[in-house]
Amino acid sequence: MRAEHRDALGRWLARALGAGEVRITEPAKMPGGAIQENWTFDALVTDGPHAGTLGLVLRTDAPSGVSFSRSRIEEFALLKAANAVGVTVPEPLAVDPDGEVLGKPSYVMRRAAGTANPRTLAREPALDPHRPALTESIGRELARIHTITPPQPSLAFLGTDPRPPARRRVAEFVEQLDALPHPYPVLEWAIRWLDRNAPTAPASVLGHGDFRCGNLMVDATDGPSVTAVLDWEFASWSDPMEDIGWLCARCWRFGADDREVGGIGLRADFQRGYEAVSGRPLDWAQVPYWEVLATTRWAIIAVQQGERHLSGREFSIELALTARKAAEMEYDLLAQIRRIEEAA
Amino acid sequence: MFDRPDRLALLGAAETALRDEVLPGLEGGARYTALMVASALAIARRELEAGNEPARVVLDAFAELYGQDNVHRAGGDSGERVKALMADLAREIRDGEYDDDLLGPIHAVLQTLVVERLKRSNPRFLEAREYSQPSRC
Repeated sequence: MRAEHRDALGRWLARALGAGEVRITEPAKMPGGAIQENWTFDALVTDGPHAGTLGLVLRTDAPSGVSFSRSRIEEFALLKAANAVGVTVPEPLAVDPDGEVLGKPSYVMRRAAGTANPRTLAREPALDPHRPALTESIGRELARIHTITPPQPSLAFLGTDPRPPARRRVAEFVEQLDALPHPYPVLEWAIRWLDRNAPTAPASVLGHGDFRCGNLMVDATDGPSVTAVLDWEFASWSDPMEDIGWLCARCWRFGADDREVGGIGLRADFQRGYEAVSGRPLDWAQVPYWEVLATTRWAIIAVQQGERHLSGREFSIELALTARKAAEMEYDLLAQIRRIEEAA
Repeated sequence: MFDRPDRLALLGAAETALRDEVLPGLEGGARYTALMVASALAIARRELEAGNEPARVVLDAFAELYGQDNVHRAGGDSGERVKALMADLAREIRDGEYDDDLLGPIHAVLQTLVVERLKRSNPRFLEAREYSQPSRC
């Protein structure tokens, strides 16, 4: 980080945290994050309500941010709302909406311990004895997010789309396919089925939008336990089943197919945690529809990632190969929809 | 007109050298990238090896849906014909032409379209329904 940004960060933090002085260690850029940049550092706060040493993360846009995801300011508001109802998130501490520190908006949150590496959570054998408890706690986390219901003045930016969430997604998918230079008949077919079978309930809860292995930070040394639910930039008012379908779809199990909840654990454990917080029975019969929607959504994102690589603006062999995963999801879509129709 | 070894043999040689001679000495991020390179080379090699066969199989599947004559009237080489037919099919699906029979004959055509691609991009998916993982391709 440039020296003037680092100095500005220290001065701004002192004001934001109500301290006389804040001294910070050299911020280090964290790996990953094509869309956002995360900088980790420690802050020595001399006085005020946060006096002491804080482990912090500064989050801001990467040079090539994706325009349709939530802004950093909105993300900060979402973290505040989630924190207020007891979702385990990195505590959001201060936001710089005008870009006083870096010349672009950013915010600071506490640094959570552990790893969000999906391969650890889905495949680490040492986690196996702890999976029931871990999966149950993930059920509680998601149900807590779903206790946030519209309208919320602090989340006004989420809008008030009157359409049922599934229909809104279908309309988005159609637009996204139209923006692609190649035809995808299998995805068109899946979208058609999704449209004709869309649940009609209106949006009723805050949906996280990307609640899955990879965005759940877990500290394997402590419990193990969930230490943070990350990446709120796809949040929207939705149907609670959308998050559950996204979490459980086979394409997000990272090879641990027999663990139906995101490769992490079993449905019964997740359900126990989810129902304990929500107070409502979880109806698994609704989930296959949302798993189809999830698989369609991920397939379209995969193709879009390939196009990002092909655009020449962002060379990445990983993005290029991700596009080739879309066929795998198409195969699953053909099987998933057939299974649902044959059971009906 | 080009010399031997041909492009297929060169791709194969690059892939084998990468896997047998380079990868064992790598770890961390470099290993991850090299695995992705190996995976990309393998996909390109299998698609080159397959030649016109996938397009022929897909055109046969389209012929089941549209009739042999209509598929062969479409003109162009087999790759161009497949792309044109895919665009037609996508538009017809969007227009609702298959709404009453989404699991009917169209399902078999779509299945063939996917399978012929997966045979080359990730044959393991067809064997064991395993999603590709760049870390262990």
